[in-house]
Amino acid sequence: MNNVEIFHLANVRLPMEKNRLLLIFVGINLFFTGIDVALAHSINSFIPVYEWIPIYFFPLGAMSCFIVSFQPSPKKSFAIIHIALMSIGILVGVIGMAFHMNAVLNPLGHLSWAWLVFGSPILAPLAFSGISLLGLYAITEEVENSPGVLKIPGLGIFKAPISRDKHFLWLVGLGFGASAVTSTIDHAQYGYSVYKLIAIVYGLFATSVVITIALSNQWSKKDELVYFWTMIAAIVVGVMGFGFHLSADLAGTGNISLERMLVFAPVFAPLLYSDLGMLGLIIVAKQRRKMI
Amino acid sequence: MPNQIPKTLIIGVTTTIVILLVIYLFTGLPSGGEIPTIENNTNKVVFDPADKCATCHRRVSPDIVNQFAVSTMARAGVKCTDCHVVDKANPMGKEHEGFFITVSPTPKQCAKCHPSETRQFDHSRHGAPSWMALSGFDDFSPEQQKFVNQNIPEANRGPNGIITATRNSLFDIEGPSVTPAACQSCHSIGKPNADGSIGNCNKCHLRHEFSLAQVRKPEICGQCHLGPDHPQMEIYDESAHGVMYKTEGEKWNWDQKPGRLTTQDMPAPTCATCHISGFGNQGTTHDVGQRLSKFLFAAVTTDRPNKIEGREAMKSVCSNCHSENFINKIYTRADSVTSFVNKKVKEASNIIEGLVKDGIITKKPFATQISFDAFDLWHYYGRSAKFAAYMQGPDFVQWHGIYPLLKELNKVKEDAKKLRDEHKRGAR
Repeated sequence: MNNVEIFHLANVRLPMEKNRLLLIFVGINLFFTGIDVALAHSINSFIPVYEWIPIYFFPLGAMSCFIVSFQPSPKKSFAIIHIALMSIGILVGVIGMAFHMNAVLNPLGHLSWAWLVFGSPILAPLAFSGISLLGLYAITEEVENSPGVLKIPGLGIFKAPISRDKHFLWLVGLGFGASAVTSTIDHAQYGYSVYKLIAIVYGLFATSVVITIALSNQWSKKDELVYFWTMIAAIVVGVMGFGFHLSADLAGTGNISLERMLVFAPVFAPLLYSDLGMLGLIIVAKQRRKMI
Repeated sequence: MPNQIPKTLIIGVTTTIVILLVIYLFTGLPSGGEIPTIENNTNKVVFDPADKCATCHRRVSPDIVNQFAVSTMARAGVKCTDCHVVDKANPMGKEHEGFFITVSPTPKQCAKCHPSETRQFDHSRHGAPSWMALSGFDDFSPEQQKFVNQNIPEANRGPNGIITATRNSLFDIEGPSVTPAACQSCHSIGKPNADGSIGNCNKCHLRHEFSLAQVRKPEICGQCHLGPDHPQMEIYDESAHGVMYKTEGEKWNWDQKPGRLTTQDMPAPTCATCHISGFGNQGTTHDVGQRLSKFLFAAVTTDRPNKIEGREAMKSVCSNCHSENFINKIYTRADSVTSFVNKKVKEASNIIEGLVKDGIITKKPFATQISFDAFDLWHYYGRSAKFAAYMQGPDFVQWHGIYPLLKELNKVKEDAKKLRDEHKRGAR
């Protein structure tokens, strides 16, 4: 039942049904993103008060994902609550981006490179929107042979302009794109070096590959190969980035300082590449046809 | 075509190269190593990329870094570590990223480059006396007490020359739940520090721009010198000097170098011009009482120890714009108001002392309504009238000063009579 194949390249046995695995994946992502935001906002003691908004949201969102993931077919009430929470999550991300944008634009009245680089990260709050959107799609089922016709438990059937798989591909592609932009901006803080360019170059490349697939109606087996290894490499790039960031935070002292973790090189941030790599593999995993 | 290169690879590589080229054209990305410059409208300062403090603090506290980046201190090559790094024995220090730093540099650090200024400040009533006005000598170490005794002639002294610093009664009544947000906030300009120094230069020289123009403007002094008990800011606003500042001030040359300031730079004075700036034949001083001749803040005004030199110094500042006759007339008028206030305050104080002596009210301050009224009489109205008389604020002499003072005195007299009558009836 849970045996899947990733394109024609790998056969994997998932520990559970793909949608439930996606929900757990979204729950874990919301949880860690929330912790990350809590640490970042704690730098200025959650002032102004609306810095608490994502902190209140993330446990609820994560919990909803975990609860729904335990149900083979989510009940209507749970599905409604889950959809509401995920919609709030999308809103939290968009509002957060507006707040960050305002913080960056406010001091000078116009956008400056220095404030873009050293001010509040403008795109970061969109992580909530992206993850919540993923959580929203994760409870839907696509009607067989009807791309874009989505069945939502207890609520009926909706027609989306593109297929469910394409939605996921766009999310992964845009996720890589946002990561590449954020890497470009963040790494400008302390000057670029060759190894800091890895994140930028790789982010751009992965974005292009995923978006190309998302835009294509047909692709070759070689394209699948490129996609597959791009995702595997993204996992590696993320882990490497984690190592680089940790090394920067240790600053040759061998001591872990919370202050450095918070304000210097965010240790968990590079793992977003690994996260997107894994997600990129999960979304193209198809249930293997049984031999009759 | 089995050997065809997949489109994902072609598009991926091409897009990456194109976008990198675009980014390179706009940001110089691969040349790397550059830290963006910080600039404002007029100044442009580039931090040394090796400056460890700025590297992190641009992210943690960009405002502070940006302010400092355009400061004259930064242009003079002063680094964060010059002010914040202290020696390991400093009790205000702590380990921070391989440095031993203090978060709040004290005059001890400022004195490394500004020894005369900190010495002048130490000898003034902005120094220890301003904190002593609240807490007496309690918070000062024996060394600091010795310093105050030997070096501050303007500290409150009794007839035998011994410092008469006692804890302020109101400060004690209000207690720690109020005073840190109230009196202490301004009076901490002279708070003793754990490193042995006294005071806080940042009270006037706001961090981190340390702007000369800013500290010359009256709003800096108006942070503390305002309100009913010391309304110098409001009086200045009412005076011709203040009106000129508000209507013409934006055209003045605020950044003129200290010691070169003339009426051409500032056609009317601010607080700083008269009291501390180098102006005319007067050199710059950080002793705020150097050009003053009377203790106007006191209930009953007495002369300052340096009354003759102080008055002559102030008159010489006035003479940059005014004739000797005009200056003398202002002083004569103001001295006359001061004498009038002194007389009325003494009258009220005699009434209160009489009530205490006869056991009608307690000696404990602020325990009866009449003691509050008698306090307001000099602390609000007497002071307002005196300050305004010297600063040319007629409305504050009259309607915020003498008139309410007389009204309050009348109330004190009537209430004292009532208290005495009640006391007599009670005794029968």
